[in-house]
Amino acid sequence: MPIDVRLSVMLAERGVSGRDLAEHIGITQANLSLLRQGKVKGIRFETLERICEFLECQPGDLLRYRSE
Amino acid sequence: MERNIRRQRIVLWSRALNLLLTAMAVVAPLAVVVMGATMSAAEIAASADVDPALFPTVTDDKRIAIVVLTVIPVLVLSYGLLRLRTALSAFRRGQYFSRDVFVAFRSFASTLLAATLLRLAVVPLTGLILSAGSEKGSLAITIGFDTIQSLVLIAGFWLLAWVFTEAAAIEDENRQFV
Repeated sequence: MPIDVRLSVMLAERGVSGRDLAEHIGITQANLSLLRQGKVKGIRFETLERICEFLECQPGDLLRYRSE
Repeated sequence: MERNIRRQRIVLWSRALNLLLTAMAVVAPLAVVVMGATMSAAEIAASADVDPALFPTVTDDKRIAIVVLTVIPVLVLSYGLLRLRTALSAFRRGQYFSRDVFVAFRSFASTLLAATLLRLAVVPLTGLILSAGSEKGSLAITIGFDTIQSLVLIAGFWLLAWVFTEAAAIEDENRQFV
């Protein structure tokens, strides 16, 4: 898929753990792991909002379009 | 009632129904074959809606043909019953709304529909086999209100199963959203 999820990069930049983020969003660590790997079909606006809130970033910081 | 108790009951009933369906699927075709092989000529004629007096005897080849013809819809129904077991297995695992369940329901409804339609043809075809070689014969298919009612109900069940199959597919897709 030409959409890259930059969640791992953002977590590393901010020095926060995936566990804390998963807890803040209210999803399992397994689901967060799938999201980090881009192995999901979609992301809910509600989830996106919670991530942006936690990481203090914009949706565009989390997703990148890669032309193939 | 506790959810666990309800689940245990579903498991129990699913197991019992599974056994019953398996038994029916095996016994029903055998029973039809045995019945067909032992029926008198008059009984066969009566089942074909023809005058028993016209056919005092039935030759072996005609009897075999009639038995084969009669057992076909029952075999189709048996297949449907066996397909329904997939749904019961899913119920036992606690998967009440999985796609497999609704696919099994749709498959069962399809076989039920096919068996009902085939059964409609069995009576006139039996008469045709009985009268093969005779000078005169007639062929008529009779569709009663009961049959129409059954067909409508089965069609409704089939449609519901189809819609739920689609719903389960949507649910599967939604589950892949985080």
